[in-house]
Amino acid sequence: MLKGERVIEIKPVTRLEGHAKIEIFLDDRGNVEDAYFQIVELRGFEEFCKGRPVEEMPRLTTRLCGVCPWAHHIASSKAVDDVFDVEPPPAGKKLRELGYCAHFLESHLEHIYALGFAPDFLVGPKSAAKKRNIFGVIEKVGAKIGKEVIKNRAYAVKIEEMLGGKSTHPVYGVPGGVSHSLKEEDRKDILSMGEALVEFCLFTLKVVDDYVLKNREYLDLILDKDMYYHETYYIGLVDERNRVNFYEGEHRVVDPGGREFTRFKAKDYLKHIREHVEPWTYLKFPYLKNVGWKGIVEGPDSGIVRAAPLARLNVADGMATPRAQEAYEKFFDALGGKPVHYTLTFHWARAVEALYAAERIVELAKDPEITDVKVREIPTGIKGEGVAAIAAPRGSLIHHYVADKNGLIEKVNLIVATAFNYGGMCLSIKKAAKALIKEFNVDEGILNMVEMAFRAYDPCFSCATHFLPGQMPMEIDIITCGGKLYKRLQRGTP
Amino acid sequence: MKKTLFLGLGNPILSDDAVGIRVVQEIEKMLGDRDGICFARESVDGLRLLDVIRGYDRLIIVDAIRTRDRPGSLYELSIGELEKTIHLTCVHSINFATALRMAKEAGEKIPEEMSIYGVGVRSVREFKERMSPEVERSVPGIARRVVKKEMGERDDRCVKTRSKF
Repeated sequence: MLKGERVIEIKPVTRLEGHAKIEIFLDDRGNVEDAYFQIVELRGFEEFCKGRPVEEMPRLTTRLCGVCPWAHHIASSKAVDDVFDVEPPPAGKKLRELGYCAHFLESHLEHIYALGFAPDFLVGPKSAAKKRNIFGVIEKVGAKIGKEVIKNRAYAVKIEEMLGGKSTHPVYGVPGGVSHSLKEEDRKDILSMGEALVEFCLFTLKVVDDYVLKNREYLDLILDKDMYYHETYYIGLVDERNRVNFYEGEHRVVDPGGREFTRFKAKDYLKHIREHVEPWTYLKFPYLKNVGWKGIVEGPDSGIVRAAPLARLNVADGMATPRAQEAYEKFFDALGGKPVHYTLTFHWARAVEALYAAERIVELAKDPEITDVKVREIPTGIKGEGVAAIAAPRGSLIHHYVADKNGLIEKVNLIVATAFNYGGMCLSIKKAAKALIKEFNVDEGILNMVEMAFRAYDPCFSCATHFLPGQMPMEIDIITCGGKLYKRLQRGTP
Repeated sequence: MKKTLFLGLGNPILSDDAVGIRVVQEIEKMLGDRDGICFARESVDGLRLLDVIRGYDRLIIVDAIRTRDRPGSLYELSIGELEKTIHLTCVHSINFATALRMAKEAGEKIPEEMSIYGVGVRSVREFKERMSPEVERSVPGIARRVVKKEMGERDDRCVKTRSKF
């Protein structure tokens, strides 16, 4: 720390102290000089995998993270297909996508109602910390909503369980397809739950409309360019018609002006993505190789690229289901066209994606091929190297394996979704902190508004760093350069 | 008959983080098949835990905990202390206490009786299937203590009560 600087440290108050913390450096006058978002890592996953049969990877990688196991399971299953050079039959592919859409819903609905959007916007960004949780949300919008959240999330989990055997750690994807076909009675149940989920997602978009878009104060906050706005590149998976797709397609990248910068298949990711290492954190920063790493700065000359719901909407030309397409059009109409750079609109984009996932479940459940008993193509050879990409709830996820002629792992490389947003999150924290913290003036409301900047990304560090998660109650320490604690602010456990 | 669930939480491939799972495996071996008693081993948290515990009357959780005390020590925790454990908290998800309250308010059937045990660990940051030797050695003894405490044979001396965090 330079002479005269003060540091504000935001860290989680868990027994795993130090695994993720924010340090905000102040100058002599108490204004923000710089900010760092530091992550500690879990070690040895790549080493752990070496020498193991590659077909074990879809089950092993679910143990990287208790939050997005389906994303790893599906990406891994696809990479293993590639290692064995086998293409799943249509039903196998569609069933994987069906289970995966259910996972998207589970993840997105939880973030919308319990963690991000609803606590911050339905309860209010400046309301007391003890109210900014799911109970504050229920108090605001009624107990019925709480029951609906639990019920609809349970539908998504049930679909995951019916297909994956277990909801959390699926044992479904096998080389060349899935482990079992879908029975007609299960298909009917999934269809009925899917239809309920569509209705609930439509309701969710109405909540966004009623409580946020019709609230001038919130709208001003969302559209505040000094706090929650970055002109960056965006990356996401699209189908052949450039519509959002979670399961397959090509990566499309748009520049800060919204123009297509590049597109590439998963196998070519190393030609387009590099990872930058900083000495103050274990998590690497993926960036666009053909733009270059210019530090944590935004703009067309910086290779920082944002992923996740807002990015996917920005890179796509539309959604592949009708109601999600309507929601997509409304999103860009209301926000002044593409690309949208406002960070807090990640929440709204997440609700649009949730609707797409629900509609896609209904489409797939109505597909005559979905109950076909041919769900797997048995591999007959081995290519040795496999790469796959999917859209994870938090951004793009890439799995890359190299196996020997016996199918034993020699090399593993994963670029995970939260890492794609790491540069963006660092930008967002710094910008919000600079705008909000002036002349040593820091209170709990300000802390929450800084947190809102990265909470919008729905970060998950357990696989980003191979690190175990802890609850995110936050603490800000304001420390003088002499090491004295000047002020401490805490947010309790929700 | 009351339905009881012994639930081991942890990541089986993350060194000492597996201890909750290993203890519950040991308990299952000790108790065998008994009416009304089930066993589960999960790497889940928050709302996902509700999916595991729904429908039971009584819940006994064993999870890993990092303390300054000797690895392999056993602690009994209250619901208000869950942030100290590893799997009853989560970055993305809401915490277990919040999930329980949500479920109660929504009228869901969740266990009325609950015991939560934490086992002190050393290494939870490295992927490997083996635990630290001292944690490994502690598993059978901890399983016996939990069984004694939970199956009616009181022996309070064998379980620490959150005094050494």
